[in-house]
Amino acid sequence: MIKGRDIIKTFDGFTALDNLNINIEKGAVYGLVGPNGAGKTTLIKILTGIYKPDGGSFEIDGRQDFISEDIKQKTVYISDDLYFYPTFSVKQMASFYKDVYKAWDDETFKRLASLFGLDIKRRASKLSKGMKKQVAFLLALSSKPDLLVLDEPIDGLDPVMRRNIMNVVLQEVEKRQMTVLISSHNLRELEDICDHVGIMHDGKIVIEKSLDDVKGNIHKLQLAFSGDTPTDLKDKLEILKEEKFGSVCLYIVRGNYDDIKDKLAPYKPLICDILPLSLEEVFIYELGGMGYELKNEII
Amino acid sequence: MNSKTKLFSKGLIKADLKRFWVSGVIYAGLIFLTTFFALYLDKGAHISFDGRTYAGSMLYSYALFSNFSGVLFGGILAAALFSFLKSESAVSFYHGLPQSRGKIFRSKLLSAAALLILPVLANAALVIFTKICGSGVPVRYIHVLIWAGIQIVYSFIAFSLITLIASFTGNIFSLLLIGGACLVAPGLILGFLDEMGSLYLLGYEGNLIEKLEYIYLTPYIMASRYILIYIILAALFLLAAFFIYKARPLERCGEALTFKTAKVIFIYAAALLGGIISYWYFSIWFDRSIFFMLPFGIVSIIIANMINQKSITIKKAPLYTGIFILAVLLIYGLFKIDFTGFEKRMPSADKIEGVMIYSDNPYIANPNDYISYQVKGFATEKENLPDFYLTDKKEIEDVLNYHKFKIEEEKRNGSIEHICIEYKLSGGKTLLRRYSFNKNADKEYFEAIAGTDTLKRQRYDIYKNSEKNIVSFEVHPSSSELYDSPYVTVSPDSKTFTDLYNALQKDIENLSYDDDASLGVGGARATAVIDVSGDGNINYVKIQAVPGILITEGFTETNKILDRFKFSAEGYTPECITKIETNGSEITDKAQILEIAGKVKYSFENNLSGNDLYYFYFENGDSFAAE
Repeated sequence: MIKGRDIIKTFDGFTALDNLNINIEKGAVYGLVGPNGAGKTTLIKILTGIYKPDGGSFEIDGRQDFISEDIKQKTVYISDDLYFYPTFSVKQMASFYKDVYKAWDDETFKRLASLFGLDIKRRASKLSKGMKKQVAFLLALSSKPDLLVLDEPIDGLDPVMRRNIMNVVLQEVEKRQMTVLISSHNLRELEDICDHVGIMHDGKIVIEKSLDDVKGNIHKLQLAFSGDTPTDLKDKLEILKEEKFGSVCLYIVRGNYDDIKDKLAPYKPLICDILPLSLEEVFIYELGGMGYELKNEII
Repeated sequence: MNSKTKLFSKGLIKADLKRFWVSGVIYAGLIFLTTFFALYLDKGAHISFDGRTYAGSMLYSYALFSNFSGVLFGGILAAALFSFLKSESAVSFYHGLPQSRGKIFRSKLLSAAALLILPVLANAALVIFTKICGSGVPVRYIHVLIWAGIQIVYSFIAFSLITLIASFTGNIFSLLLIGGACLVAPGLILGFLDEMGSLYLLGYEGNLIEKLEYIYLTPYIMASRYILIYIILAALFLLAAFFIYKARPLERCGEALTFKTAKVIFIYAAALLGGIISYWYFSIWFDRSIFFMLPFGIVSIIIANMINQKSITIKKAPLYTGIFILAVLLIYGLFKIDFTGFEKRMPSADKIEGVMIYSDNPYIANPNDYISYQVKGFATEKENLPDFYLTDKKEIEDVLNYHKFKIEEEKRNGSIEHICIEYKLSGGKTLLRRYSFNKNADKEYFEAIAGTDTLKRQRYDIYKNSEKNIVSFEVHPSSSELYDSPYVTVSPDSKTFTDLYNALQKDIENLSYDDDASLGVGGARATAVIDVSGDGNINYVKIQAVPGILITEGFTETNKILDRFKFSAEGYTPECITKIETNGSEITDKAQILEIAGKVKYSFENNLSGNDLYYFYFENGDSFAAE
């Protein structure tokens, strides 16, 4: 559905996006993760037509005029830094969205307003950060988008509301094949809702896979041998990180479960635990190999 | 208005109208105060002149307030409607919507049009409605519409200018700074150019005031055909703003300027303004020189460079400063070598259709008395300065000889009086030069010109003017100040009025160059009021014109008439006074009359009279008022 090819964006000589490529399938919930300054928000703002790319091309549903009004009609963007007309109530903002988005659905608005427990007569700009997020989701989902772009969407929401909102979002994905692009640092939350992940680093997407593939391709090994650790073991495994606690070796290894198991079998380890990593651990170890390491320094 | 296919976004327009309708109502209220006071509360102040009532004139007079509020509102509205460009969250909100930049801009424009036009039309409709209902307001419909049109244009010009600035500035501070600079810069730059011309170019006359009128849109200009130029200019501003907005890199929101190329323009604009201020500052203390631009000009470059780089640094400043110094040197050099040949340029006689000679400073040569008089009538020029062109071949030749003399004389200063030579050339062109004027030194070349009938009529607009156009005479003694002097008024129904008129005609006709104290005096200046209740055309009405004639010894016939006011002429001795009126009382007692007349006789010299007015009635039916 969405294809970005060789996207370039520079700011005063700083390359924010460096020949970036991205693919998002229709109906996917795509988690965009990366360290601060990796270019996530820049990518989102280009995709939503706010920034103009310096190079490269985007395609949405096979069309390159992705910032045309009819394409944008099907896209709603919830920014990290929300804006509402200062004097408008939630109801007035809804009326504005109704005028702007042709697919606006009053029924959805009423249902979600009730679900979120929002007083729609209150001035939107005066609400708390979390309630503003709720209003943003309320307006976005009532606009019935085909593509929902979220930048740090759950920041400020309490755990219950977080679940409620994500539940509604996933229902829309299921019912209407809505595509969702989420940029977030909360990888634990992303892990629950995303089916695809793109990891960004230095203006590029360095890993782009389904969540299962991402998680299935990197494992944590806890090994202990009767004697010394076999010297050629490291040559056979693609090790991202290693630590040793007494006789127990801890490895973060790239590769799927079966391959790793097959490679370890000839060495007959006394202890052999092959554990899946959380998305957060994948993020840390994958980027660790690219020069973005966790630093355990005492200062 | 479907958002996909239409030019405007219904949602955006509705939202803006919802947000700003209150300010529109306040604006309508401000205008209402103007129309209300002008037409209903202040009926008594309507100008009556020449048997006509200029009620609409009051609408225009008070319109200064509504014009100002229009300019203010237009500017504020533009800043408010495009304030979203100054906030990152608002930029993301607006441009994340399914609206193209073009549609957003056009929708903002339509909202502005509604908010700027509707309050004015509502007021115009109110005036027209009350007139229809028989309120007796003496104003013509056409003038209400003209007034409304001017009001709308004023607000649109301000709106378009601020919109243009908002399109390339990234934060409110730079919008205010550049907006303020745009307000003062044209005046500063024009004034500076005028100063440079007068400093370095012999014969330069810049007509600065006239140019400033065009820049600061005085009601004179706005009520003329020039309004079309401003409408076009406003449209061009908006067009430029539209394209700049479409090309605007939104990621630079928050920066002073959103386009990198504008940074250099910003630095040199700051250098120019700083340089001009520097020039004026140092010129107070030292002899004027263009190099006084350098101190504050360079400081401005350094500061502007720091703002651009968002750092306390002088990096790149030496380069910018060097270019600035070179530019100042270059301009100085161009002036010194008279690069354009301005100073020596003279038109050829065959291309001159006419030439006007006038001055901007009065020349006073020991007059005995001066006479002021009021003239009524309509003038066609905006400053009531009729076109007194010399068109005779011999007269033009005399002017060219004089012009050549002034060029060769190369006298830039040394006299407070100046003379302007304005040629009307074929093809609608003009050539204007201004030189210092010295009555004695210029006599050889200027006497023939000064003696022409045309120039006499120009200097004395009573000369060969109908007696019916003269409203009254006042005779002031030379020893007193203009506005604080005992004086005698001569009303049109007195015999002395006609005598004085005839004597002045004769004296002016025969006046010699040496006795003519008016050389260097320009034409009559008058308060001009727009006539809106006349024939539907906007005319400039000449009222309250108070020219003065300096009475020298050469005014032999006039001086004989003036003797009457000293009660020395035949029929005008104190014995001929039959009655004196003062402070509402009437004095007929001969002894008292002689006593008062005796005092007044010497009042011109001794300044005895204070503010009491005395009316003297003579046997021959004449009467004078004296203070």
